[in-house]
Amino acid sequence: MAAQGPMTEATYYILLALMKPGHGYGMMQRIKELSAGRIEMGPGTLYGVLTRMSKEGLIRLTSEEARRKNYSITDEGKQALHIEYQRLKQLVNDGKILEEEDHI
Amino acid sequence: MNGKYGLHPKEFALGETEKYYSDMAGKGWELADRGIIFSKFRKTAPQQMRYRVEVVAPNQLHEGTLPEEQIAIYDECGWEYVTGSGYIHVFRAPVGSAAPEFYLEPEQQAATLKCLRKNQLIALISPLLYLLVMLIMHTAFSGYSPREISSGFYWMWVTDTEFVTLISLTFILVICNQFWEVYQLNRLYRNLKKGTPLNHAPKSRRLISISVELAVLVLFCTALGYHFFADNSYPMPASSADPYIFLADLGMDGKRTTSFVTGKESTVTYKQTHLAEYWKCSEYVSYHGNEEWLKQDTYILKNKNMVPHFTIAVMNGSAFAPSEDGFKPVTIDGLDQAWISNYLQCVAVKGNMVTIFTHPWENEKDMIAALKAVSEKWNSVE
Repeated sequence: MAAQGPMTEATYYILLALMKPGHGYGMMQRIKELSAGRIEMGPGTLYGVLTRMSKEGLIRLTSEEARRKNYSITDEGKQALHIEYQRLKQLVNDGKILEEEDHI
Repeated sequence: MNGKYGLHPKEFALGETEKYYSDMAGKGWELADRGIIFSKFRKTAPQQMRYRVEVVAPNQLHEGTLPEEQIAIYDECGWEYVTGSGYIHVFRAPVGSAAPEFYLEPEQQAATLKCLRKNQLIALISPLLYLLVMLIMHTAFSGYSPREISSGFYWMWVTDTEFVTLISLTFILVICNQFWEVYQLNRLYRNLKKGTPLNHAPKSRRLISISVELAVLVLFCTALGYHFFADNSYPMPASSADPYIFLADLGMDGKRTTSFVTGKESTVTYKQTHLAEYWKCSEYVSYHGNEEWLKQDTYILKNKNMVPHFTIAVMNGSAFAPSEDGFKPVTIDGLDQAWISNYLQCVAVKGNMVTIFTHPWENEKDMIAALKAVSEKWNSVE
């Protein structure tokens, strides 16, 4: 996989949501749950990111029912998600000095 | 009336388009279909609706329509797909419904504008490129030299002034309008990239837009009107005080006949432009059993300073001499300047009058005699 830059919030949450296979609207509901209502993804964002990630091989189409398409995350997608998670954790760790400052 | 058509805002005016459809719905006109220029509405009870526009590149469509999956995702979010045309696809949801805006961040919407920007740039460059290619092709393959081509333009400018001016203005207006549209779309793109959300109810600029389009249409139609209807053709009279000569002035006083090539009668076409008066004459007579003919273009320029340049343009545009170099100057009493060429064409100039006439003369002496006849006519008219 090519060197990965920081993910957008939308990509990160859609990949997270797809740890359990699902369709478009289901993903949006799941993202809302995962973010405790903080993120209400618009259909434009969702469709655009799904199309791009599908081309990049981060997700794959698993089934189609009527107009709905179901997707799941690929191994490459999982790897990208873990890399991003580690990056975010590192950012949070690095920011811990702020808490230490607050205690002084 | 159960339906009507409305001129919708241009493709680049996303917020304006959304407001236009929402306003129409509020007045009881629900969007039914969208064409390239007009939208079709059907009569309903007034409805408070949110309309939203999605920009989709043609290569992302499936058989000309939005992919089913895209429509389904939007539908599940509360957005009903209405219609689409070109790059613009329209969705609606009732005001107050929970349907979320299309994009979490404006930058994501900015990305959808790329295809529209590319298309707009092509629309801007295409007419300029077309003109350039035509000019190059004309110069390279028509056999005309750049000097002859520029003379041709100058001749056209003098004899079809209004048409050339109006067509040039139309072209400039179209190009300026295209530049303005490119600027507006780029401004929207930059704002979205910076994180400023799309304004779904901007101030309407439809009046300006419609005025510009009407102006283009009026200019273009007026230009065509001048080109095709400003001249006045009539059968050539037996005599006239106008500054052209007759075959009779050259001693060929036979009976009028028709052209053996085209079958046309002897005619005069008169045209007046802002820069000149112009008589285009074709005369055919039967003389001693032969058909004699004389073709003549006579001009009175309104600005005498234009005469030298215009005379050269006339010679460069002549049918038989290769250019002004094919004309030999001769001195004729009563004329400021005169030229003859290869026994077919003569040019005469006096004051602000210029004429070029064509006839199959047998020798130079006859051509000199014809120029003298012109001199006599012009000096008698004065």
